[in-house]
Amino acid sequence: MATTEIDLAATLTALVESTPGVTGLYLPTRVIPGRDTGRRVLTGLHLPVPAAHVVVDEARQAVSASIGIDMSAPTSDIGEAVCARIRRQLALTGHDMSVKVTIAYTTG
Amino acid sequence: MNTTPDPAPDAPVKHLLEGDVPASAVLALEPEDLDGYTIDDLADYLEAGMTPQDPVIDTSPSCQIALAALIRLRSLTATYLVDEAALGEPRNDSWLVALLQNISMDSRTGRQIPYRSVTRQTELVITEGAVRGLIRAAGDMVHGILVGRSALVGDVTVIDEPITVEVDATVIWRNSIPDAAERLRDAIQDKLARNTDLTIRAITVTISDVHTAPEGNR
Repeated sequence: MATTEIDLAATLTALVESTPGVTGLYLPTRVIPGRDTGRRVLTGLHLPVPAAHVVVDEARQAVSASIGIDMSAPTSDIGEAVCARIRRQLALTGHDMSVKVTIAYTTG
Repeated sequence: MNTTPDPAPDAPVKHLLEGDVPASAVLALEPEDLDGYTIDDLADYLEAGMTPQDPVIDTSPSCQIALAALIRLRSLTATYLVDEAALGEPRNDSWLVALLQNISMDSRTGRQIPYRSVTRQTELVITEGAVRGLIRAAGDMVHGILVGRSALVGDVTVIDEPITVEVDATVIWRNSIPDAAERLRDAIQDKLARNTDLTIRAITVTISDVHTAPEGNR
């Protein structure tokens, strides 16, 4: 990708990741070390693992995003919010591109 | 087969993911369905607390779907296995093997299912694998039944095209099969109506297995 594509993709990725309902790619699991090494617990790590993958293709005038979402709202509502954020940002920066958002998986 | 239950609280979970389930049964699945990993790999990763982190697994939708299903499955089955373990009876784990196989198959990304779009030049889709995850999650909310294989029959890539949802499930002993099947059908119908634009013509639930209790606990 060219620099402008990379910059735009980074901006859009940040927007998508911060959309309510877009989940991080972590699972709430970790090992608690100790004498009872056989015991494992489930807990929330809340690590800021990247939650979305956004690709900008200037040549094709297209933006595509793949996201994972939680079930805090209907999937279509979360997906449409992501689409709206991308469209708004593209309009602000003067880009006329098609947008495709793929809900790749759901959690929760 | 292990006939002496481990008293440790998480023994059923370890049994499910490491013990009597024959690895050959799940390794027969195609690794490319899970971005090069097998269900065994993912179960090991989960059991190790997902450390050290594997960026491929952590960013693979297919692996994430499978991991989420494994977590839900082991949470749900732990209760049943604890009940059985308390009796000290030999177990038949074929139903668990079947469920694990189906988790891997369901995790495949599959087709792209569109939503109705009202915005020009904008397309929103959900993968078939994600929808199968929704079906499994709906099933997990129904007491006494575990979802196995699920399939979306019909052209899901076309809006308003009627499709049929086919689900295989295992009923846990003591539960009415007709009631459990009906509740599962309702849960799936509700979940898909809320989260997709699919036009559901029918939901067919096939009870392919009944997980019975050992003698003496009926």
